Amino acid sequence: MKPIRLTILGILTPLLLGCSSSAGSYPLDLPAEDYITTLEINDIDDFTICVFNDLHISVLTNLTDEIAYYEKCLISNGGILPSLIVLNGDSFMGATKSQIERFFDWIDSKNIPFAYVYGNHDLQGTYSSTFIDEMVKSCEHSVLLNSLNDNVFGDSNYVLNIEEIGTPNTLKWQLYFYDSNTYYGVDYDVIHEDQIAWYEKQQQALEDTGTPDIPSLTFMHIPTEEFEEAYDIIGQNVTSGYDGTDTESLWYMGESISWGYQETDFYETMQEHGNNKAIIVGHDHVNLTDWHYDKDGDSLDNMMHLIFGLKTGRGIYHDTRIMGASFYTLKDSNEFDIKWMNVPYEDDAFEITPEYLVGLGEGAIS
Amino acid sequence: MTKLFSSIKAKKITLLFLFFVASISTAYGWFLFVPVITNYGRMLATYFPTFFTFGVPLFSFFMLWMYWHTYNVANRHRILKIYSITLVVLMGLCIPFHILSIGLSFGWNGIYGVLTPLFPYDVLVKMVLYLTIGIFILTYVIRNGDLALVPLTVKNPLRRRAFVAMGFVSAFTSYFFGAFFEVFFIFDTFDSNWYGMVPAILLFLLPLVSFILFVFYRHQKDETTKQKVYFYSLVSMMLSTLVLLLWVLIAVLINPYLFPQSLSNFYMLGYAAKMPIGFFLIIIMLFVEYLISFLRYRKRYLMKKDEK
Repeated sequence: MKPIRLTILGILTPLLLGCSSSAGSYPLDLPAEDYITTLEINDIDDFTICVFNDLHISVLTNLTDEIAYYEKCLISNGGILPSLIVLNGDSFMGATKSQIERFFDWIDSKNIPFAYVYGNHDLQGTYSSTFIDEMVKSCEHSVLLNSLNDNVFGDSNYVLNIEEIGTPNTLKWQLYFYDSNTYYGVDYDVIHEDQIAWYEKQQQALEDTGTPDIPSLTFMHIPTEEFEEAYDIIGQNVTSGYDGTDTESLWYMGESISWGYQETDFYETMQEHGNNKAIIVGHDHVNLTDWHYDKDGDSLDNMMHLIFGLKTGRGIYHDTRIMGASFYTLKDSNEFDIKWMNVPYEDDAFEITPEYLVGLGEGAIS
Repeated sequence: MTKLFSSIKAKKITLLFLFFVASISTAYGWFLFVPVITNYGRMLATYFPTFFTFGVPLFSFFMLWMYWHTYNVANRHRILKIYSITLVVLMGLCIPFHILSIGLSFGWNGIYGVLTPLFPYDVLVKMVLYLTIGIFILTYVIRNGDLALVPLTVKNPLRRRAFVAMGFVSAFTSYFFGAFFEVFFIFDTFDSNWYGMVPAILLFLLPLVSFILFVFYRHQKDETTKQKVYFYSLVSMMLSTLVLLLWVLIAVLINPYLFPQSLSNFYMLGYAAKMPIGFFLIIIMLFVEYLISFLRYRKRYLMKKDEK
């Protein structure tokens, strides 16, 4: 064969190989129960979730100091340890393997179940795209379920069933965790259609068991477009406020909302099923909100809480006035309580009240 | 020592080895520096001696290259003087600052393993090593002060701008070459996006290949061979770049999430602003280089004397 033909063949081979690759399509259509793990508890009213958002552990992080801070956050809710810890995305950005190992060694040593959610920065470090997954799965107290070869986009789409112990056990709440993905083009990504279909499949499975009305909370990293809508409609684009007479929404907006590149039917689908009580996100470090938003009508009968939780720790940009841990206590009445604890590095932790939060911006309490 | 480095082969091997070390050091130093940028300069005061230390191998490569491309004894003596004084002053400042700042930021004992596995001690060892090298060379420079008085007898064939260009080119090239080695950190398991990662990562090698071809071209004596080397280097580099870009494009068309899923490690700073800026930077850099090379080729070999 002539050298020129050999060269062309050599160039074309990898191209053809690339074209023929099956990567990008995820073959396994797993049953709904494969995504569910269960936590058994004595009393649902005691169940408290502590959420850490946007730790941003990097090579700059002195983990000795930061772990002491995370410990302080964990006990900031009156010294009582939570029943579950949720790492709600961007725990790492530019970290090394040894830092990640040390962090998970610490969190596993607390003997508290913990849920891991991917943010848009977690895979940016000197490790492979599966390293965090392997680390989390190796932890005894992790509740993450992540099939790497399923047909649901992303790496942390799973459900945690909270069951009260009895004969038989009673399913009280469901916690949904989503990978809100990373980037699309030059913007943030959104929840994909197959993830929405996955949610519907989970809800269908719930109906099939004869208990269709189980309340749930949704944890993910990047907000949806409804956060922006709520800010426009309820917040009237005022930086802070407490709408005590109408929707009871509370907010402080330190920055614009960075939602994905396009609108999706995610919120609408959840609203149709009527079980989801809140979408809890991080991502925007200096926004703290609890919008009571009902997209499908004027009344709040089908309302969902749209919550920007507190950023945890001093990794990248932050506002020390709204930095710490968020606590959500589940109730038997299908409701839940919110407690935001501001945790300074040096001083004592304190609860963020509506008056305090509104005072940070230009808004007022109505 | 002088005898050992008298052969061209020994010099080439030394420069290649030093360039390799400089590349790893530069890329890792940049990886460490990105969080300082994304944290708006936080810890910069604590870590700047460390960042300087990561830059020393590249500086050493450049100075050694310059030394071996300088023919006058007095000029060589000056290069050694600049190099050794820089090392001594830089490390003389960095060592106490490193100890003080790390002590104040982290406490006074223990291995923190923050930036490097044995941090701060491994970095401190490097600093002491560089300081020792600096003192050793400075002692030589002082003892042989009369070398500075040797009259300049040979006109250096390399013009000043060649040295400046070498500084810039080696800095960029070493970063991308070093970044290529990150692949050994991230390829510990099979990645389903391998087919798109391969060309994107191979692109990191092109600045180095281009750099080597340029050096090869410069060392040709015969003008006809020189023209051939220039032509084939330029064409092959352009073709390789186009093929790799086409390959990446096809891979992105197959999976639009290729970059955020599997390559975001390489473009950390870019992804702080939602896009792989480094990828576009390398493409722009290569095409600017090809354009300049093409224009120079045209001027040198294709245009008639009166057209130039």
